[in-house]
Amino acid sequence: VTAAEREFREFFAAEYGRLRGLGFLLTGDWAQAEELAQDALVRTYGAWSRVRRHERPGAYVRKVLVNRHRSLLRRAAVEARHLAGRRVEEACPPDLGEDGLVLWAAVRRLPDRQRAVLVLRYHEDLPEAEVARLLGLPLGTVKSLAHRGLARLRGELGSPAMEPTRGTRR
Amino acid sequence: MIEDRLARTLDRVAAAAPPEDGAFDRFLRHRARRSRRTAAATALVGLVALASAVALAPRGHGDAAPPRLDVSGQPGPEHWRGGPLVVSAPLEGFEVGVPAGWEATPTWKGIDLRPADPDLRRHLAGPVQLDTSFLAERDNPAPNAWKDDAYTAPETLPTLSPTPRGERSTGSFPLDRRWFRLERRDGPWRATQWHISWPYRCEPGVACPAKLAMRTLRVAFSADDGAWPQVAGLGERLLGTARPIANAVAGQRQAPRPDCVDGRTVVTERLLQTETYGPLGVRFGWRFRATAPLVPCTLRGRFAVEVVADGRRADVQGNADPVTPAVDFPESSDLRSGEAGTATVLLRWSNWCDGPAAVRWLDGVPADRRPQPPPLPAPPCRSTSRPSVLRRVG
Repeated sequence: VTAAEREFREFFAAEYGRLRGLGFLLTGDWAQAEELAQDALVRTYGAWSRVRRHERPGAYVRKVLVNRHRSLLRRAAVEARHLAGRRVEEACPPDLGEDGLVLWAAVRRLPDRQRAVLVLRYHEDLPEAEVARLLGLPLGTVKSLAHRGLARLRGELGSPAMEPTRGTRR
Repeated sequence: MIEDRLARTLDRVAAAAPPEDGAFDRFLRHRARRSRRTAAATALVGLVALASAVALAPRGHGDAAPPRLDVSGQPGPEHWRGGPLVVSAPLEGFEVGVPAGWEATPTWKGIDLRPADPDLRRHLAGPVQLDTSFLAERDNPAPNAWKDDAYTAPETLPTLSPTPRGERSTGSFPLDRRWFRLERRDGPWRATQWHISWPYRCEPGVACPAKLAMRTLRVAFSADDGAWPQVAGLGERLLGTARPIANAVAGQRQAPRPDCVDGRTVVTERLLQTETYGPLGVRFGWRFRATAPLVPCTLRGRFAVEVVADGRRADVQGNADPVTPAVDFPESSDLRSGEAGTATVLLRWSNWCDGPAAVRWLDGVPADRRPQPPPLPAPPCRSTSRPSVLRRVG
């Protein structure tokens, strides 16, 4: 095992969980999150000799993941389907508390671009300019998407979330 | 501040990941697959074309053509035909030669085969099955097939549920047909499933849901150790020489579809949703899902609910009006999930201002696929001057 491979293995161990979490926030699906994280790491491994010299290799792999997610969204009319299709039968993550569950359900109902902007802005804690660069959007569009997303969340938090189709109901 | 609540919630959601055991091993496999795909992508296309040409070659040499067995997806009584035989299954998109020493009979999703020799037959737990199936990206021999321009991107990458049990392995048949195999021991039997990629192609001009690229051609059998080499040899021969036809070939016309059969080509489930925002009401519905073999069919039927009050049909506009969906599987996809091979019918009942009411489902869905009966979620009264309405909303 070379030094570079050892470094990559350590990098993998340090970044994988966080990447998977980011993938889940963007997609709402753990299987797809894992696929995105694995794909991003495989692509990063391909450029590891260069990336290992970066100041923040973690930023690089997250950028790869976000780009991969973007390219999935670009294909066909996926975003339109996201807008039209509100998933109502997803398992909720545990231990969020009632407020958290309602907020997360509202986040999941956001259109993809709004959700991606909010996730990168408030989970990854990236400045708006960096979010714009990652998503390939003008800064003004990012600001507008963030504003509309937050407004929509505020609006929805006033109403209970739609309940799952089956199983327990309040 | 909504921003702070959002940040906290997102952090907690992201931290609630399921266990990630074996992530690095999966990474190594992922990396190896990607390397192999990159190296083999161009060669594979040419070699598969060559394989098809080789499989077809004897037909043009003036030899007496072997008898044919046409499979329509609606098998009649079991009727075994001895090889050599050419089996054509356009609904499953394959044509294959059955060699001498083996017999074949159509099934609703392909063919079954058995040894002509009764002594050898006793070494098998049942017939050898040749049909189409579906494997998620993780196991699929061509996990990137959905990236072809003929497919629309999935909203969620295909998943397989339940995950098949068994020991996984991969390899290649001659002519570089890559396979995925599951094996497990079941007493004396060595149960084996072999898959090769067999993407489903929609009619020309129809954008195919990505999941359909994950279709596979499958051979499954259980044999004891004495017969396993012979049966495995048959499986290898079938998968190594099968020829794509009809819906396995881009641009070809589809074969006529039979009606979907609940429990075989499609599974119907009831849905019940209580709206707690928006127009407020109760939604009744049905979800139809193509089964894993992804055999094409057309969904028909009559689906309705009836609101009953005081023992009689209640005064509700649209009460008990049937909905008659007509959708083609497996192309149809549900807008809610984006998943291929699914369709949903939804009715909304709103504005109920009278006393207790009950609902009867008029659909014939089996009891094991009905939701748990909750207390009747009658919709709230919005206006006594307006009628109660039951109508289709999706």
